Amino acid sequence: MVKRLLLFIIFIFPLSCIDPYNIGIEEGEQLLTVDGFITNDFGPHTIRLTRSDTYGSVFEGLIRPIRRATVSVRDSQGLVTFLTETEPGTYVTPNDFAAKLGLSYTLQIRLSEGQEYTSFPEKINPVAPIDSVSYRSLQLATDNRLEDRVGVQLVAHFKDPSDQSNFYYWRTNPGMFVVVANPELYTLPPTDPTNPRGPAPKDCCATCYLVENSRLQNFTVASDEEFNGLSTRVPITFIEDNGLRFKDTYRAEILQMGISQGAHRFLRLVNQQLNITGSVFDQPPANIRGNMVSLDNPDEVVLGYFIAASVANKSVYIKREDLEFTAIPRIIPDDCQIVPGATLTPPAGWNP
Amino acid sequence: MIKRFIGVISTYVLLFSVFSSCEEKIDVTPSIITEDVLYVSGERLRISGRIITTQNIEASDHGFYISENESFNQPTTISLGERVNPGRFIGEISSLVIDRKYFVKAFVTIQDENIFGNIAEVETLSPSVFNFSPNNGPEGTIVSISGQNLTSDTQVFFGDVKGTVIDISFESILKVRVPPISDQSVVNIKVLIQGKELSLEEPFEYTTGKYSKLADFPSAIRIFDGIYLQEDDVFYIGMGTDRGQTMNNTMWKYQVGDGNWQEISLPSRSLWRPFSSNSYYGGGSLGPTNPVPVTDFYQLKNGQFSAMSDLPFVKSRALAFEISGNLYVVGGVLNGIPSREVFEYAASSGIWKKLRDAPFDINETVLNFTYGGKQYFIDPLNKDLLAFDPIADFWETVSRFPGDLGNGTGVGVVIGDRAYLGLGNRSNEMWELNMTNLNWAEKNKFTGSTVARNSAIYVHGGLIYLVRSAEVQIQGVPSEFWVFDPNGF
Repeated sequence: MVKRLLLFIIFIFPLSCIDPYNIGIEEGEQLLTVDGFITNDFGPHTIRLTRSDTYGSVFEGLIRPIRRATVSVRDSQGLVTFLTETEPGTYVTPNDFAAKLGLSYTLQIRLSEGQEYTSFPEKINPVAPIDSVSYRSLQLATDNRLEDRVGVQLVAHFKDPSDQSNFYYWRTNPGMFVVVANPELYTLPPTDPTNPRGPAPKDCCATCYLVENSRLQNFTVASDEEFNGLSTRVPITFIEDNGLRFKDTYRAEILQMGISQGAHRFLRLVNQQLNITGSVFDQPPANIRGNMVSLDNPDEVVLGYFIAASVANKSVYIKREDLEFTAIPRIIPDDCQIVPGATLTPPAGWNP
Repeated sequence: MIKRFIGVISTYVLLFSVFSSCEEKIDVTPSIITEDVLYVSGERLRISGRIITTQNIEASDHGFYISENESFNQPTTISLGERVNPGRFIGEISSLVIDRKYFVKAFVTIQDENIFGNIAEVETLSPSVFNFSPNNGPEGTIVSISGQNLTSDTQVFFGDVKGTVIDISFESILKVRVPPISDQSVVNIKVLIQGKELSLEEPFEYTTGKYSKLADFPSAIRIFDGIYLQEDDVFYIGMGTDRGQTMNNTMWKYQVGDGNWQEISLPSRSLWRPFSSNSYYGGGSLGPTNPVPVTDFYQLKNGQFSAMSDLPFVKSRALAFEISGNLYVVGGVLNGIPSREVFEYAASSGIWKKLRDAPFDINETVLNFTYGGKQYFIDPLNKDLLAFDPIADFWETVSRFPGDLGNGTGVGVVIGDRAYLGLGNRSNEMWELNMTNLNWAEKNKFTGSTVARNSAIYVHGGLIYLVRSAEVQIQGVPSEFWVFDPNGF
C-alpha cells in the first residue's frame, strides 16, 4: 500500500498546471510629432506635423498628417509669421521669410480641435562659413566579399570661432548630376513584329540632368568642444556610387547649420538611435524628448524638435576623372530622358 | 536554572538589539526651477517651471510670482493649484504693461511653506503696426491690421471715430469694423494700445461718390449713337437717333450753372454712329436706314463748328480722343467688320497718319480715358487695362478692371490723378483707379436706373456729368441729366 502510494506521488509530482501569461501591452498614444526647421536663408521653410502611431513607422499610412492646423513662427520681438498648409500636414513659410540672427524663434501650433502647442525658444546663432568642401573617393568593404561599396565622402573645411560654443548640423541639399545614356545602343522591343531586339540607334539624347529628391538618409552633428577656435575638417556625408551618379559630373551642396545646444543634443540622440545595429553595444531604444510642449497639458509627450538655425552653404562639382574608385557604370541603352526626372536643360545654378 | 534562563534572555536581547533597526522617514525637500520664458509679448507672459524631486509631493499650490521689483513686494501670483506629481508646469498671465521689466520666480507651497525657484527677468515688448487691408471701403468694412504685440485693450480710430475691434489673433492680426464716415472721406488710422498711439502711414479711404439728378432732358428725344463734345464749361450733344429708330436732327447745348439744356442749330448734316472727341466729330453714316459711310469731319473751336477736310477713311462706331492737341481715331466698324486701325490727326499740320493696329477690337463702347499723355482702354473680353502711348506707338497691359463692365458704353474719365470707370449699361458700379499706384477702389453704387446707357459724358470742376438714356423698350421716360461727385458722401 505504501509502495503504491509512493508510486502515485512520484507520478503526480512532475505534473503541473500551465497558467497562460497575458502580456499587458498598453495601447500607445498617438503623439504629435513636429519635424522641421527654419534658417536665416530665405524660405520657404517647411514644418511637418504628423500623429505617430503605436508601434512605429514601419507601415506607411499609420503616420497620419495633421491637417488644418494654425502654424506660426514668432520671433522674440513679437513678429508672427503664419505658415501655409501646402499639402496634408506640411506647412511652409512665405518665400520672403528669413530668420534673423540674434533673435529667438518659437513655433506655435493650434490644432483644429483647439489644442495648443509651443516650442521652447530657439536662438539663431551665427555659423562659421564653409571655407571649402573637399571629397575623397572611397571603397568600403561589405558583408559581401565580392561587392564593395564605392562612393564619395564629402568633407567640410571651416574655422570654428573661438569666442563662443558652437553646435553644428550638416545636411545636404538634393544632389544633381549628368545622366549619361547610350541612345546609339537602343534596340527594338522583343515584341516588335518586324525585328524583335533589332538595333535601332536613336539620335537623341546622350546626356541629361537629374536632380535627386531622395530622402535624407543620414546627417552629421558636432560640437566645437574638440576644435574650438581651430580650423577643422569634418566628414559630412557619403554619397554612394550607384553606377549612374558619377558617370560624368555630380554636384553636391552642403548646408552647414549653427544650431542650439538643445537641438544638438536632440540630433545626437536621434543619430545614435538611427545607428542602432542590433549589437550589444548599441544604445537602448529610447523616446527622445524634443523642445515642443503642450500648453494644455505640459506632461503630454510631443515628439520632434523645432530647430532655428543660421546656415552657410557650399557646393562642389565631382568629376568622374577625379575619382580613384568608381562603380561599374550602368548602361542606359536609350534616350536619357527615359530616366524619371531627367531633363535636357541644366538645373538652376549648374556651373561646373 | 535561573542563570541559564538569564543567559538565554540576555542572548535574545543582544540579538534583538543588534538586528533590529528603526524605520526613519526621510523628508526630501523638492527643488523648484524657474525654467524658460516660452512667450512674452506686450501684455502676456508664458513661462515654465519645474518641480524636481524623487517622490510625490503634497503641494497645496504652485505657480509663479511676478513683480516689477526684485524684492517681490506685492507680487502678482499665477496660481496653478494643488499638485502631487513633480515635473514641468506652465503659467500664463495676460495683464502686464507694455515695455516694462518684470521679475518672475516659480513657487510651490508644501505644508504652508513656500519654496521658491530662481528669479528670471522678463521685459514686455513694445507693440507696433505695419499695414492694413483693404485700404478702402464703406462703413462696416472689416479691415485687417497686421502688427505685433497687440494687446487686448487695443482701440482703433478712423480719423477721430472709433472702430469696433472684432478679433485679435495671435496678438498680431487685428480685425476691426470701419465706423461711420464723419467729415472726411480720407482718414488716417490710429491704433491706441495701453495709452500708446501708433499710426499707419497709408490713409484709409471711405467709399464715396454722390449721384444727383440735375434735370430731365428737355426733349422727349432719347439720343442714341450721336455725338457729344465739350469746350470748357459748355457741353454739346446731338445727332444720332431717337432711341435707335429715327434720325435725330437736333443739337443741344448746356452751360454749367444753367438750369437745363438749350437747343441749337445743327452744325452739319446729322450723322449716325460718328466718332466724337471734345473738339472733333466725323465719320459714321447717314442713318440706320442709309448706312452709307461718310467722311464728314468737323471741329469745335471757340463755340463755333467748322468743316475740315474729309476723312481719309470711312468707318462707324470709332472711338476718338485727343492727346497733346492731336486727334486719334481708333477701331470702329466697316461693313460689319470690326477694325483695329489707329489714325492720328495732327491739328497743327492737318495731316492724318496711320499708326500700328490696336491689339484688340475697339469701338465707341469700350471704356477708355486719357492720362499722362497716354490713352487707356479696357479690353471687354478679359478686363485688362491697356495703356497706349501714341508717341512710342506702343501698347502694354498695366492692370485689370476689378468690377462689372456691364454691356459697354460706360464712363471713363480722369479727374486729377484718379480715373473713374464704370456705369456701363446694366451696371451700377463705379470704380476709381489711383493712377499713381494703380490701386482700385469702388465708389458708391449708382442710385438711378441701370437700364440705360450713357449718351454723353463730361467732366468739369471735379464733377462728372452724364446724360443717360433709357433703353428702347422703356416707354415714356426722357433722358436724364446726372452729376456725379466722386468725393461726395
